[in-house]
Amino acid sequence: MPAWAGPVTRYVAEGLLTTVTLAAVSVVVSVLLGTALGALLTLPSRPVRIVVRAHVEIWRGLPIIVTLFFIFFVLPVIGLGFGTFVAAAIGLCLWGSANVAEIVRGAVQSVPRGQADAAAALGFPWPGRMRHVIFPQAARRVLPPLVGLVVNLVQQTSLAAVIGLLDVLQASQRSIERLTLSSGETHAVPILGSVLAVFFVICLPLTILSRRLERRLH
Amino acid sequence: MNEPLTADVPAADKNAVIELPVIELRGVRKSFGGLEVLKGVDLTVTRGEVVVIIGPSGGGKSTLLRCVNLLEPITAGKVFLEGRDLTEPGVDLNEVRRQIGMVFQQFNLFPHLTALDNLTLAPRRLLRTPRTEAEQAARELLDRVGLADKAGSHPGQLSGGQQQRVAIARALMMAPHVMLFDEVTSALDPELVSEVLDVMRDLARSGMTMLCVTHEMGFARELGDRLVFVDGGVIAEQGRPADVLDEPSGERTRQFLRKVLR
Ligand SMILES: Nc1ncnc2c1ncn2[C@@H]1O[C@H](COP(=O)(O)OP(=O)(O)OP(=O)(O)O)[C@@H](O)[C@H]1O
Ligand SMILES: [Mg+2]
Repeated sequence: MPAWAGPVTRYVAEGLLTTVTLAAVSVVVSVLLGTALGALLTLPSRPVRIVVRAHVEIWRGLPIIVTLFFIFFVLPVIGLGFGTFVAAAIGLCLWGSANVAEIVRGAVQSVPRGQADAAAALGFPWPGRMRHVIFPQAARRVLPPLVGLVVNLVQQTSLAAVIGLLDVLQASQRSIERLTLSSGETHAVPILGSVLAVFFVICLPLTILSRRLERRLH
Repeated sequence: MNEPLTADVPAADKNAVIELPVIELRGVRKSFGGLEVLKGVDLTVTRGEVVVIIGPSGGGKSTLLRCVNLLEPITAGKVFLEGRDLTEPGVDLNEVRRQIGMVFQQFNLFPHLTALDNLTLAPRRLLRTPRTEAEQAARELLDRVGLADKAGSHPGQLSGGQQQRVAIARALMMAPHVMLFDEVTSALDPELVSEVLDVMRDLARSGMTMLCVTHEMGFARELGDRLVFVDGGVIAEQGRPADVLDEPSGERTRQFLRKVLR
């Protein structure tokens, strides 16, 4: 083990903790908020749908990096300043929840119309149709794309480095720069290699899970 | 037939039994966007009557049926269930629909539930029937449609004919006052048609009021009290099934029957 390995590992591990926390917060908030937004998108009320649709399209349509820059650099101009972690979390949650909403809406609408007809004909009011007939069927269809999106969200957390969040990527990059300055040697390969391995280890099981779920559905 | 029907019995007729029609449509019109599919339909179905609806594809038969329980909101006209105007504001359509059973061409069973749970869902959730009671009633009905052994099966494990019989039983769980059937044998393999028609025959003989869209002319002739020919969004002809089938009076009816009966 070279002498620099210990301190660099500690430094990058702190960054990794930040990354994992950011990913966890983004995933949980995105799934909860996105499910609620997705449910709103299936409401019979047109005004509600239009408002939610606009919200979803904006945050799904913008590149995450643009959203992050906007939150971190533009909002402070009107007095809404956030730290890097909160700014990154807000940006990722906006993007994530908008995408979850779209997945939920798609799953609900992929349930054949005859199902709602049959429930209505039995006398179920709209909430009962949704709760007992449509949602149970939509839930199965939601899972595979949802796990895929979670993987994507975990990967996108690395974008937080661009607004200066000391996440695993930023920590590695700074370590590499410092080592290069102090020793004149670049240790980019082992350090970035470990980062790559970490993302791989987090995302691969999820990707496999998504595949499994998809296969079980067909 | 066109006089307004009210629930009040005039004093002079105190002892006369005024039997309100189970279903009455008056001048029902239905448009989808600019397309007028029903152009003023009047139809009365009395208790225990089996009315069979025939007509060319796209003539509005399904739409007509879906207007009876207002699964499609109507554009104009009135729909009465046992004398009650369902188009009046404030009518709870969900409550009304419990009394009108409906069976669809595509069965529309709930695929995530077993046959038994398909039957008990509505009574348990809407009528708060206790589980054991609902399940006992469900098993009796499954037995009645010849599927006592399929209670635990999911729809995906059943044949089309079996699914459709479960669907009929599901509708009967709510003890409806009238049953609507929309081409319930059209999606079935020919050898499965009779098992579903047998159930419908039983039901008709038990005195159920029925409104059936079908291409089964044999069924219409045997069990229909009245045959209604729907074409171009109106009732073009109606009468006793044998009369309409053997001596149709309208040219369109003749053409249609020639095609169907070959
Ligand atoms: N939800 C809808 N939106 C728009 N048009 C509709 C809708 N439902 C039915 N139509 C149209 O209304 C007309 C009548 O349809 P309907 O399904 O009532 O006919 P049908 O007599 O039942 O035909 P079939 O024998 O093919 O079942 C058709 O032209 C159809 O395209
Ligand atoms: Mg039809």
